[in-house]
Amino acid sequence: MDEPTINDWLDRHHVERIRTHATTLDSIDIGKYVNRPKFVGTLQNGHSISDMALAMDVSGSPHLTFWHDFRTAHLGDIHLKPDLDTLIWDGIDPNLGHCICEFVTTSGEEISLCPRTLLRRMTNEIATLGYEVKATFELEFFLYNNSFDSARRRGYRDLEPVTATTMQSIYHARNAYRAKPFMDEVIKRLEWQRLEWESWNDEGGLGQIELNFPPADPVTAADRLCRVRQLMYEVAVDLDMSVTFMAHPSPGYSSGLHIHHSLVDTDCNPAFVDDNGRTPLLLNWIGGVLETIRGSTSVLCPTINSYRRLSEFSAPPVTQTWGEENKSAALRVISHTKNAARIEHRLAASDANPYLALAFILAGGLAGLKHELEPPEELNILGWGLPDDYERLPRTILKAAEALDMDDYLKEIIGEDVVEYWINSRKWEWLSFHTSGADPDSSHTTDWEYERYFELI
Amino acid sequence: MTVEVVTEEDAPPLVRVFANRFRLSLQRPQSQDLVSSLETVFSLKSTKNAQAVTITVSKGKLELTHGVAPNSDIVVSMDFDNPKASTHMSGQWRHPFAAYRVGKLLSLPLPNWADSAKRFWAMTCNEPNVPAKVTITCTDEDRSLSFGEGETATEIIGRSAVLEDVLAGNTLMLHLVIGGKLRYRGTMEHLAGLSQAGQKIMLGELHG
Repeated sequence: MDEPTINDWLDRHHVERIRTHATTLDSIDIGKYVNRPKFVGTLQNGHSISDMALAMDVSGSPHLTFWHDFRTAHLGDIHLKPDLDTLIWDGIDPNLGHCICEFVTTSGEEISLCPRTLLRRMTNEIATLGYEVKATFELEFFLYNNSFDSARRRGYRDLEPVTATTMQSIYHARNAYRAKPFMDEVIKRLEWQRLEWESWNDEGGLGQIELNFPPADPVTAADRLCRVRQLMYEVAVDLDMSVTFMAHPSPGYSSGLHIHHSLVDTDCNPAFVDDNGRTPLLLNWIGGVLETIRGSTSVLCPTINSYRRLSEFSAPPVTQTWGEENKSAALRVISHTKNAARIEHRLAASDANPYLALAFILAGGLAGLKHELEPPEELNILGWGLPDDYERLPRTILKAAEALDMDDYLKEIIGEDVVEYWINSRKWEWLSFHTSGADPDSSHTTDWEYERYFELI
Repeated sequence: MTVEVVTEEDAPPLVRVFANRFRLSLQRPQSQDLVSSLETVFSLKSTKNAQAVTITVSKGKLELTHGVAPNSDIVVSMDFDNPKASTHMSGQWRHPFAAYRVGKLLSLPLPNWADSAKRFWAMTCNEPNVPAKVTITCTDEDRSLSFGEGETATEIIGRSAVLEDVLAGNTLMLHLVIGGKLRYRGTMEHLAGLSQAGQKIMLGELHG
């Protein structure tokens, strides 16, 4: 959209203020409320924001012990550059619009560390090979009858999950009915904002819900997920409830972020399967995604809390495996049907950054294509409880960071500067946890994790 | 005999920090003698939280693991953030000789600030975002040392005890600058680089 078109759009929707949104490395939605003249007047290079905005952790502490070249030597500004194709009407506030931005320098140049920019770059690289990516996320979260203020006063413990029973169950009509007032409001606002959704259901954990979306291009899919997380937070605030996207808020099941993706060619034909079944491209793609999965675990499971989810027989994968319709493997491959052919990557935790998670998965696939990597033997058995000769995925934030540091494929495709900064940020997270005095042997979610992740992730 | 200091797999920071301290202290021959004749298991635990480290000393080797091992002869309770605060030791009556040696082991002197500065520079000068030239000034000795080459030097200014601590990798430079115990003249980029390099020493990622 150019400036006249923007003005026309703002007039027609009576929008006088725009909330800008950008997603940090830790998946925090940040931005500003901008008035219309300022928004329209800064379309080309965006509006300013402290460079610390892209260099701070979940708790808002700046990253002061490592560096990236986008930062100015004496602290300064960067910009949030709006992507005008993402401009939408709020629906609740009649004069408010929302627009998703990317972090750029003050002169408008891309910053490699911006998660959205990185995902766009991966998508474009795949496009140069003649393929388009379709992707979607399964969003899992926990819902409580306590307001955020009340939950905070309780230290986020002993909350009242939105559930009909104390037994863990799934697809249960009674559980779902308890969540329906909240979800009805969510769906209403989604539809006002023209954000597509497909279905929702109660999940296995107490108060756990899953929301599904139709496939879209990667950036749109990630944009939508970030918007929905914020929208759900707002609905929870308005209804005196609380919702959390932290991976493991309570004993029992945890929240994942299963990521489905597929490739189609320029004529929209599936690239993963053809009339003869699985294509060589699919096998190389699986080979690359699995070859890099140990390194990408760092991004797919980004927090201390993410790793509480990774235990055998509790739904997430624990091995570097793939299999047809195998939900106990890291990659569930669906290749028996041409039209729905896809890969479901089942490792990501719900607290993952959707831009980074998908970017690293696509980077793995690209590595597979570029280096013609072959996948390991298909897993036609259960992926949990396997003998020790099946190597396990990293089980701590530091081990995952170390695995990423050893991954030359991801460094090559993602960029060494981004990988190095990310590793430093995970070491920072690890140090923050341990130096806060948290018990490293605690088998339960700690106060530190609740305080850091429950409301902010 | 060279004393070996090893840590458990995936060790938490506290274990790594103490391993670094021991490696540094044990560079002195008299410190090596202290360890080579000691056979004990002792633990250090925080008076404020769940952080703890167990050190097994056997056959001239120090093995560090997190937590308080049940077979510890001696348990020292201390404030890790304030090592000068009073400590409490249990087990010293049953193991008086070991307790005496452990006390000595925990109070082994660090190299002086000038030696630490040379070591720090040798280990970190090629690390990312470390400035090309650094001048370190010790205020109580009224003495400066410069390292590297360049037109402008990044300056680090402090008392000898603080410099010994930070240059040995015991404390993060950033925290001391923010806390006013160290003065610093330079860019944010270089402060980040120096702090990260010090952190690598602290965690045993850089050896010298």
